[in-house]
Amino acid sequence: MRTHSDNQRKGLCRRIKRADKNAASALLTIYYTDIYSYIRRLCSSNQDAEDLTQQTFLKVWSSLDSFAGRSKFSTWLYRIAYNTYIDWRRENAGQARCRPDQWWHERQDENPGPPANVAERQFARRLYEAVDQLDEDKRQIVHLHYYQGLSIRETAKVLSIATSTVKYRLREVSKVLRTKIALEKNPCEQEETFLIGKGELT
Amino acid sequence: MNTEKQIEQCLKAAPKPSAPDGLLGKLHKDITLGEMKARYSVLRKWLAPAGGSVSPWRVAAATAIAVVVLLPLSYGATKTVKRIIKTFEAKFEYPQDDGGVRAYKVGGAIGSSDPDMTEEEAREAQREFYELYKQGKAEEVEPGFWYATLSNGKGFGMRDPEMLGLSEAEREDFLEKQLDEIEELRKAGKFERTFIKEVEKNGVKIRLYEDHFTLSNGKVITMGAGEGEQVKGEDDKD
Repeated sequence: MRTHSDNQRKGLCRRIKRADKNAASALLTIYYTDIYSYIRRLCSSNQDAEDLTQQTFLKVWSSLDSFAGRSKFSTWLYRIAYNTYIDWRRENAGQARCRPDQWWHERQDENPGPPANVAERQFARRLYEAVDQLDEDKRQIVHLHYYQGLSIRETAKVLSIATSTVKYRLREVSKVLRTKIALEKNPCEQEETFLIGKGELT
Repeated sequence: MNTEKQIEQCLKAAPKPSAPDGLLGKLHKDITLGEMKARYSVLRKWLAPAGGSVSPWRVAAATAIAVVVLLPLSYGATKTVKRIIKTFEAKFEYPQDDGGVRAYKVGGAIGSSDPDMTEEEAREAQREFYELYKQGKAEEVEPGFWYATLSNGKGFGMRDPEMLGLSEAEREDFLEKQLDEIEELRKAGKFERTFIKEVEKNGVKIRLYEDHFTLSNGKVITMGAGEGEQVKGEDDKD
């Protein structure tokens, strides 16, 4: 899918600024699946993800003039998608539709995931569920850096935070996920550890 | 494999929800809407830079400044023209040092002394003229401006007739190169300005000018320009 170079993408942006509809179509075709999958994993329904993807691209066309080309186009696009999602989440705060569903059960065309065996599938399921339970800041780091494949620098730009913050949050995420996975692996083990930690066993 | 590595690999290999059928089509349909919004938003950014309400002062000034139209009218039509038929239009924007945007709306149009001339008749006249131009039967009456007499005995002239043989994209490139040079000349102050008249609208005085640019190939391009000034006593809501 990503066969276009950065220069070609910038060329497409220049042509879109001159109202070239073919260029807009080309850019749309390159990016729409990435943006849809990013949003779909964050919200609980296909319909909401579709609406938010549409909103994202409407904002892209209407604000393309503000894209100065200093960052990668994809970074700028993800920033718009992120803001669109955050606005929607704020508007629907507390509603069930803001809580992610088990998106990994959806039909998958492009990346089949890790289906090797039952144990691995269960591990993956527990992991994705654990990610969905993270707080928003950490969740976004996982979605952008791991799920969408953005670099640390790009993730920082999308979220308007320092790269050092991204690195810190990644370490935190790793810690939290390891704990959660360990907990689910053997709840009894954890209970014992807890008791020892409390000093109730000698 | 340790758990940390396993977690990382599993996250990177997360399945990708596929986009629903029909989404791409919907997104394509939205592009047209987007173009209109894009044009609107640029102007709006200039009109209300702080994101507040649009200032009437700037609206009036922008009307004059932003809509600068190049019309290669048929020869001599500027005095006798009764009907203008637009044949194409493109818009180009140049960010300015003060944060504003200078927008050029460049159009091709046929000006006719016949008020009943139809669009098809105008386009047919243009097609015939282009054939005459290609056959060397048109005359360059001033740099870049060509004139020929059509089979119905009427005169037809236009600037840059070679544009008629270009595709839409090629024509835009051609115009953009010309506008780049004009923009450079404008920045360097290398143009002649003729005052046309002053109009007042919504408490704003707008002075209208014609700016004449001599390009490196000798062509002289004349463009309309306007400068707005708030009438004393009116509030500038910026």
